[in-house]
Amino acid sequence: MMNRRDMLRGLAGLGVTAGLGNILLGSRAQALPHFAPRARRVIHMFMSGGPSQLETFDYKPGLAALDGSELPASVRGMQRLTTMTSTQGSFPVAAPRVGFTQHGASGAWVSDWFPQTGSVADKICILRTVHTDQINHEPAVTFMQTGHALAGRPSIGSWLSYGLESEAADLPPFAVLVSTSNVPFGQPLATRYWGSGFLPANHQGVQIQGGPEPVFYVEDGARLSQARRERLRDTRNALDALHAPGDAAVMARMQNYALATRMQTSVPRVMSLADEPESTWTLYGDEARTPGSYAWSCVTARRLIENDVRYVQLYHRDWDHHSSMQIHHPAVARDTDRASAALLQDLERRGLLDDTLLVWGGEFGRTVYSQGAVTRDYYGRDHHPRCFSMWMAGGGIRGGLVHGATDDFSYNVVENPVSVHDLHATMLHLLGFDHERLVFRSEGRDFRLTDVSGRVVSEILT
Amino acid sequence: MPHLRRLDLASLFLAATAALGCSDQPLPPAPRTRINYQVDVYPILAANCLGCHGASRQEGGLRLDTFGSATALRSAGRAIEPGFSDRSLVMQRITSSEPSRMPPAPAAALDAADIAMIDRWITEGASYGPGQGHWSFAPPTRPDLPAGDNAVDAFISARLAQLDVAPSPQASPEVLLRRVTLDLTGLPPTPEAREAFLRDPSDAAYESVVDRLLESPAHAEHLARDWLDYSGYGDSNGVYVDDERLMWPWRDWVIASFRQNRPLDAFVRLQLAGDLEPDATDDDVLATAYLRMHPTTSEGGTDPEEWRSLHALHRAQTVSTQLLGITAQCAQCHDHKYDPISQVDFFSLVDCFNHTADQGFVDVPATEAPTLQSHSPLARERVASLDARVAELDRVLALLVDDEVASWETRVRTDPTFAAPTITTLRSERGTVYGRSGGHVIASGPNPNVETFHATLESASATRTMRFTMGASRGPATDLSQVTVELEDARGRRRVPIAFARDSDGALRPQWMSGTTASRQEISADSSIDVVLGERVPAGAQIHVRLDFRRGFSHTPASIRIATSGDESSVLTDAQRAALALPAAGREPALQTGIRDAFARTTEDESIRMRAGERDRLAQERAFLFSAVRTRVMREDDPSRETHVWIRGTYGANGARVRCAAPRALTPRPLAFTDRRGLAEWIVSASSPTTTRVLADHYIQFVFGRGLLATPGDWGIRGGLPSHPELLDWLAVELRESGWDLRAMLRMFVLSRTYRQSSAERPEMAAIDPQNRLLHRAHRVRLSAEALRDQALSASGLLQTPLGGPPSFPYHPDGVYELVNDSYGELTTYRPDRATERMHRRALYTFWRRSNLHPFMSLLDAPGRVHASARRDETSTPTQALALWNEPLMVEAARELAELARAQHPLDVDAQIAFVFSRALARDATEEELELLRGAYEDEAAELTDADARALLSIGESDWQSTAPIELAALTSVVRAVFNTSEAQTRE
Repeated sequence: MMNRRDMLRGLAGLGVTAGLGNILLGSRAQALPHFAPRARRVIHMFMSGGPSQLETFDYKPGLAALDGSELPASVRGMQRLTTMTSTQGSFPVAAPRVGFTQHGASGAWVSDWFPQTGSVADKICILRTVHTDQINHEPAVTFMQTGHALAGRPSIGSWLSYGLESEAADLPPFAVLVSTSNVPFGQPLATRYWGSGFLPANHQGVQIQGGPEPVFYVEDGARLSQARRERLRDTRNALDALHAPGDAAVMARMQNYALATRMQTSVPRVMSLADEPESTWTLYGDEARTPGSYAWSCVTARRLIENDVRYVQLYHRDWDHHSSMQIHHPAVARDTDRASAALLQDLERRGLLDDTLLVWGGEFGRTVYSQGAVTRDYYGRDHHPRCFSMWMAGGGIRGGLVHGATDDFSYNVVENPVSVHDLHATMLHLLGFDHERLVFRSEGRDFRLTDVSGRVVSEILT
Repeated sequence: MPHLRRLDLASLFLAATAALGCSDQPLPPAPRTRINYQVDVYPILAANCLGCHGASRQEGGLRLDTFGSATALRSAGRAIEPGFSDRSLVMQRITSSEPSRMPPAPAAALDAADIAMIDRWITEGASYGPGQGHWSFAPPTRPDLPAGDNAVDAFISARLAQLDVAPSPQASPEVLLRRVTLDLTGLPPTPEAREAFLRDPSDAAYESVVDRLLESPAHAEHLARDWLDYSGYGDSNGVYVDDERLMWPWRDWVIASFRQNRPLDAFVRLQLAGDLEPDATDDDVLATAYLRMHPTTSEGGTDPEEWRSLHALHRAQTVSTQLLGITAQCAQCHDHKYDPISQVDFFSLVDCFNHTADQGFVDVPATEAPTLQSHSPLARERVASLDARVAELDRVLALLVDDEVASWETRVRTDPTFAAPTITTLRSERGTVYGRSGGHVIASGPNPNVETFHATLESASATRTMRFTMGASRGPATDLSQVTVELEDARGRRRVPIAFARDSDGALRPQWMSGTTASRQEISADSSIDVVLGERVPAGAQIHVRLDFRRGFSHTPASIRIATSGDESSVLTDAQRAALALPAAGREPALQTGIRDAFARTTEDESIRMRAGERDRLAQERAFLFSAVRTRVMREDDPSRETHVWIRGTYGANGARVRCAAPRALTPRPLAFTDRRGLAEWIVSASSPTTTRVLADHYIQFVFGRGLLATPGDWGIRGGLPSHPELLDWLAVELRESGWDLRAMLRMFVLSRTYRQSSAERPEMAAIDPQNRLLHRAHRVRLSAEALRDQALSASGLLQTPLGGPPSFPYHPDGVYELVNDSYGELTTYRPDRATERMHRRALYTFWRRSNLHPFMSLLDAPGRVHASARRDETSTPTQALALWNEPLMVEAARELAELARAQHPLDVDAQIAFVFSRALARDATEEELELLRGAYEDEAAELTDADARALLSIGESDWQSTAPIELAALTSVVRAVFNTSEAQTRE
């Protein structure tokens, strides 16, 4: 009979070394990616609620003179409105209550509420003409995340998890960080936004949070030392090896248990910011020390991609400013401006920006007309799907570029529209995928992230 | 190469689903001599030609899917000339080069195998066969049964015999019993059942086991669990704020239906149109909640009519996919590319569901209409017996108490003395900082949504009653959800029963004792609660107190003043004590009853106290179960509402008007219905070709682990082919002709020798049937998330088995609800049921929040259920390993099973280990396994400190008592290892 120690030792020889991603992904029939990628990873800073293009990147100096005047009906055209303002008797133009400054060699205009983002203007490409089909949060966020307005499709991170071999040995390929909301009425989120839809569930985003348990169930709450954990895992794996030697599913599960035990040390290691140099706090600000804050999420996102996580999505929930825009918008800008720019700078100084794609933006923009009356101290903006601003930077993106133009009211796109599908096609392209060929068959149909459209916005690529 | 096409189709499928880890390999070739149009040719035409030359479009006036058009004489000849492929224009065009090649670029040319197939088919005479269409769209006919007394065995063996393959040997009795028990009930076999079956594993004994399982309520629950996926059931609205909705009475209707083996046709028909039945009962109407599972939104700015229309679309999709087996979602935007389902077909189906009074914008509950205020059918059954038992206990209590209460009154006629105890430790779970000053605790620091207050105190005198006075709330309101009191003395630490809890008005608050979520209570600022203990805590003992505050939005009280009293009079309210001055007959009846009950609940006389406790528990259960709720159902309100095709699937872009009708491809001639009931009756009639096939295969999958069709949910052209078409059709006809007797069908399945085969892999079959589609052995199946939890609860004896009722809120990682939504609606925080009798119910009752599913469930492949789904993924991930190791319920169950083992075999560690192993896995451990686990036990026992042991044992809400925490913890670790084996996670 086999001695128990031998048995446990024999187990170590089973070669439980495959990367977490390989286990998660299993084998894929398609040869992917389709061509050499420009970016190897993505950090998507998702500003949920809909930041205003008028107070961020779409400078309309002519609006000051029109403040309070009626928006010409010809501008609105047949535009569908939300029922929050569709019954409004008038549509008074609200000029932004913030100045704009030109930045850098490119001379890009950026609102003074975003000075740090302005300071990296030469590194980023501002898209002023993104447009969406959706006018309410839930379908618009679902559309931005999954390429379809109704729930049920895979998130873009899941598509990439499906398409890319994960490189991380002990972290998931697709991680999601939701930062704590600092104002009441932050937008509700659904875990479905990072769900895998009809892709296998192992491609769903793994939620990572501040606090004592960064990944679900990574803490045992029972004060087990790592040595005890490993011994119990070996016992468990030995039972498997005794009962079903050589069974493929059982072998895979033994590896999973080995990796799970590794995650119990690797996750706390990645999540502990104790080893961050002082320069980190100088760059991101002290706010980054508070677990769960947006700035903390930015630092953690950098640490995750340094550990080969492929797609990190940050959610900030506080951008829905139907009222008191002049109070809320600068507050949320303060919450995010410095850390977003710091993340870019941090990646650059660590040599990671060249092959990391950064994306910043929300699910739609805001109306030039006010929701409710306009006064000197008060205005609000409703949802606006026809044009909004985002920025991208890093791997394969031309910095210092402003792409697209809107009309004098930032109401309609005048040139170079970028649809959500175009945005997705471009992101996939940068990661080495032909968006028309990254497909998955479900219920008798081949699905893709970009549905039946999408064009790579080659003008913004290096 | 007559079977090339089948191979190609199957390998295409392989390419698409390899990542699922359950890819489908080619079926072994079946001996067939002639080409079959439906199986071999139609898929090629559908994928390449019929988009332009089919039912919806006829470019150049040519249709290739009918013999007449395809063979008609044209100016250049015949598209298809039967018998002469070289003269057929189709062959010329599919083999020519650009630009005349068909299909035209950018579509790819047909590959050589497809061309060879069409060539051969035309040469053989281009027979279109009887159905002229896809195999599943022609009604099934019952094929001849090959030899054998069990239809499953007959067809399966006949197919294996063609390949000269013998079935696998039968599984061992232990494996078989665990398999059939898990498959039929979702639970492992009990030790008694195992013992009995091992004593007599005969066929007759097996049959009686099967019959017992099929009759069991657990079987009905397990079938219901499956149907909840199949219908897309959720306890929340599904999108945006995603608040709770009260659909669980329908879930209970489903359980009750399976328990009575309601014929499947009635089961389906009532869910589709129970409200339109003649003389519809409340339960018939309740059944139609099935059609109200669609998500509803409360987001401001929503266009109500758009969303109302989406509800109807959702119903049409669910019904077409889950009951008709056709994927209609493509047809929302355009005619189906492959299947002959047109946009008109889809919107005609939508029209059947478009005349109901629901609204698109669900802002307040009143707009969830139409609703039915009714009771769960399961609760209704129990309420009469609960009432009778409460009345009987009341009667007995009155007899027992009346004599004694008078003398007790004379003892308690003084004012109680409350004194501040000594507080030794204070702590919070979520960051609130507590400072102390005597019995007064001041809160400062963060003000989280959810907080739990822990204090350890020591009272100078014996304690009967504890009084907590909450200072003004630090937020909008304070919500106390549970009070827990533990006593620690030389014997260890244990929960002290609470006789009752009441607020400053004297109103009883049973929920503070039980932590039931459904009845959370706000308390206003500066209010007191009295917690009357069920036993007297001696002076000097350590008392551990926990107060849970859960509300959503910051709300913890600013201060908590704690006082204790040992006086007997403290169990009465001020008003009750004042009433003692009057003669009993002159008191207000409510006060008099209150005095009597206070005595009964706290008296030293155990027989009285137990009865009072039982009466209170039953009364609370009745209130809980019998809460009449408003469930969303179907009611027709507007028969004249028009349904139009949405041009390109866009809301508001109205095309042709359509009316409720069957999809054209499924009926020989157009079939219109006057209302939803007409559709429902057709769906379960003999003339619907797919319904019985879809349901029969679904229950094959339910029992065997995989269906005969490789692609559940897609019976169309691109769906795979069934591995055993004849068996499928035989079952489809049998299901109907047996009176839709599901139980009889399941019985036939599990009694088959095919089902009873061993699941061991056979190396010699790796090349012939690698995916076991021919069922040459039993499949191995990973247990569902629900079964994994239920198995651990069952093995440990913790499982609570009442049927039905409101959802339960088990342990849940903290802070998750807040993170995704702390602003809108009622679910801004998760409120666990801290009462074990709720948390330890079967997992199918778990609150199903669709935007934010319980992490244990979602990690283990449970679907969010915004949409209906026919099959769950079976993934294997490290995060699953973490969940199974560390989910508190799994740890608690491990400890409970360890306690059970130590009680059974107090002195014998080997016997304890053998006991836990056999309970967890339903088989006896081998010598090697026992030795391995004994080693693990000793390692744990040697290394564990007392504090580490207690940390492990304290996980979970249920009590534990042990004078040997290290040994108990070591055994708990052993159980955790066993619970986590692949064997525990697999139905073998």
